[in-house]
Amino acid sequence: MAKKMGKRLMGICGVAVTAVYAAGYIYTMPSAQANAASASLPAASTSTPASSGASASASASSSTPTTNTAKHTSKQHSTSSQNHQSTKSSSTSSTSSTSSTSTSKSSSSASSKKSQAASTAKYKDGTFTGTGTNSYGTCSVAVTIQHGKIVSAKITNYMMHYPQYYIDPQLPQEVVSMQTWQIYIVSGATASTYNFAEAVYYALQKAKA
Amino acid sequence: MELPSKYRMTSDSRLLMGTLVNIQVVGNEVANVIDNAIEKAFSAMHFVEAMCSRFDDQSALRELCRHPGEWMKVPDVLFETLRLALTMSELTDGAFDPTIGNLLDRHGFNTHYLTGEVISIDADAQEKVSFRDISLDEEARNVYLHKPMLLDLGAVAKGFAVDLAAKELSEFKGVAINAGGDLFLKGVDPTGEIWKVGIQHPKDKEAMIAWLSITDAAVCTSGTYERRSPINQEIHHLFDFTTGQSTKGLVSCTVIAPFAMLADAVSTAAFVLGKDRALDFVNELELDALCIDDSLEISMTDAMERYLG
Repeated sequence: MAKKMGKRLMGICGVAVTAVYAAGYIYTMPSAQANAASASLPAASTSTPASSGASASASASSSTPTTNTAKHTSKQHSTSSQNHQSTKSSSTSSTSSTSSTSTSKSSSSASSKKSQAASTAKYKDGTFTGTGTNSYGTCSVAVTIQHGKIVSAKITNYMMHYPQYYIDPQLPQEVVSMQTWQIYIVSGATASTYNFAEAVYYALQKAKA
Repeated sequence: MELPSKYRMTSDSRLLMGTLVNIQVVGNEVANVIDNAIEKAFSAMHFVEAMCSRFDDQSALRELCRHPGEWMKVPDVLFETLRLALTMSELTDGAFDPTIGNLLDRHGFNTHYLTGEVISIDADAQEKVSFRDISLDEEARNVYLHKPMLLDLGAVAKGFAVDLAAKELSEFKGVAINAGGDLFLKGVDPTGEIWKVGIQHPKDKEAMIAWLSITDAAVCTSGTYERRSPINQEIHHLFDFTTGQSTKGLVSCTVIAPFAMLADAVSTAAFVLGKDRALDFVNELELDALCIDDSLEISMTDAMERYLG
């Protein structure tokens, strides 16, 4: 059975990746989620013209289980999420940090599936930065909020890095000569998210309405 | 000496799925093209997290867990993740089991990595459950939970996210994705050589215990040294579900497979099966593994040798 199992597992993975990749990364939760979101449904259904076609159609059909296939919609509009405030968070009034990094071009596909989340929004939409220290040094993150939910936490500065790699006797010689740790990948070395907790905390403090 | 770099490398790191995720793309395309592709790859990973997270009460996984005793329509990504997880459960006679969520929760693995919020689960989810209490309808792609339970798909979902990200980046000369030890390598590194991967020393955070030369493959390491229970330091996050205990004997198990979701699931399962059964298990699946036991002795599958160096 075992040899066959290896093939079967491979088949399951192949199907999984192909199917989900083809369907795209939008899913609208049926029934209960829709109910939970109904309190703020006006926000979803009257979503601003700024939202893309994909996002508008997703919110309109939020009560039915649809899998939107608008996978490759363009996602350059870094400002669309800002305009897409839910009705309750009237505090659109600018925080300076909202403008932020050029890298916050959030994907419209990711944002549209979040359109129901507004009811539980604790955070203002936008991108907020925070800086903290960890055992290696200083790091900064840029946390992007869309529709009240965290959609991205990007490491913008990470002053540290594997201090001993360069002098590790086990290190292949070429690494030492190239002085570039980056092209060597480590399996098992999770830089713990705890290392970024402080930076994330400060970013989320700014995001709190 | 200067770096003999043939290709430009673009690197981006995010916090995702409870870990630091780094994506490196090798290629001389214009920056905009590479940045957009990386953004898309992160979106794919975020989608998997949003659907399959145990820590987010708005995830499809948590929604499913709120409805035991009825057939539930779930998104493809959750269905496929569950299917692989349940297959691994069968293969390991339940040593690997996605209904482990409650157990992890009870041992304090219950805090969201970004917000610090502690997840609150239904009080009635206390009954003894196993993977056999889950049914899948392959035709309708529906899921039925026979008892209240909290699923944890961490082992498979993270790998799945890496596989989708890799798919989004498949057009480039080289790609390395590292999601907290779940790796996918493709093509070449910036020097035009195949990727070098260090396997972290289990006892020394800043040293490597072995080096692999590898590409077009996923590498995943499961180890006890990663996450300890905040309640009891003796307990780590890899449980043998049939005993309810953290596994002893192995400290780390690295598996190589064509998919990260497979490498992660198999390394977790092999680790949980323990020192005596891990390599046989991986061999039978025609994959490769390198295991390290608590006296730091290394053992590996026969074909593993070709990656070393």
